[in-house]
Amino acid sequence: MGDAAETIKNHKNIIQTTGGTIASIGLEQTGRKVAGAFVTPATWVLNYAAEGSTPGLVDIGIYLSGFLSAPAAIVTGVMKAFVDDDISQKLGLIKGKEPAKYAKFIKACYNYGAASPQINAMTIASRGGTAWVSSVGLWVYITDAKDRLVADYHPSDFVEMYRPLKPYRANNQGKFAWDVIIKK
Amino acid sequence: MGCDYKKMTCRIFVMVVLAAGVVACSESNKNSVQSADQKSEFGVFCDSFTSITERQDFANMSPTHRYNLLNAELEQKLGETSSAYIAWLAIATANPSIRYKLLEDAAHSVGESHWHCESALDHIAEVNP
Repeated sequence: MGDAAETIKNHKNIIQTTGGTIASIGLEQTGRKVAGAFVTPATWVLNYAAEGSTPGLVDIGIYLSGFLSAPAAIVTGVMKAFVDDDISQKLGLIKGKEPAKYAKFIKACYNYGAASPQINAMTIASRGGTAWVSSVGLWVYITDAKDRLVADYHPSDFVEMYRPLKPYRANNQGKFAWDVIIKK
Repeated sequence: MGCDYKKMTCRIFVMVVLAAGVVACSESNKNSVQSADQKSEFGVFCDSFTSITERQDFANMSPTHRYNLLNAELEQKLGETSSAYIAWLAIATANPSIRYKLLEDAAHSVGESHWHCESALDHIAEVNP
């Protein structure tokens, strides 16, 4: 139970909205006794506060009725939908800071592989691509129009970037030497 | 759910008791939610790395030989879908001077915030594909 809470806490960069940190009483209390009962991430349900046609601030709450009997897959599905929305918003912000001709090819590392976004970013760099985490906290990478990784892109807004080292040298497994660049 | 709920002056959270071992939400959680007596993925990585460095012939091995030994053990103990194994495969070709920091970052990104591996800190630059 503690491990699950820690994992979700460490993914806060994914679930922070542009409006600020999500009210995360569920996160704070996860694994502890609150009002005599244990709180776990699997019992969360998401309350959307709609502002126009798009979600604004999001509260994470826990409901007693009905939802408790729902399979974990439903909770996962709801959470995933929320995460997808949040990633989409942040990706829009990141694209807005890059030249339009490149922006459309910027993608979220969250979707690149099954590992965490940061590990996926490391994999991208080792395969010859450029990945970076922006000031909004989303790990992203860039491809060309044929979905091939781009080795030498320099983003306008980044906090930390993973990129292959020049001269580009791949080993016999096709992996590239790469390095980390931190914005000063 | 929805606008009306948000307009309420307070959020109501009702806590309930759940059976132990309820699975959490994200994909990476599946790697970090485990019973108390199971080692974490990066913990297994550290154990495997340590066992390689403690071999008597470690100093005489080539960096590639060390890498191949380590990979064989990790593939067997963790599997190709393990976050720790995936991270290692990427980090192995990173600048040697930052590999340990990257391992720490990778471990933290899956919830292992207190991960530390003395043998990797000392020898990570000596294991290369």
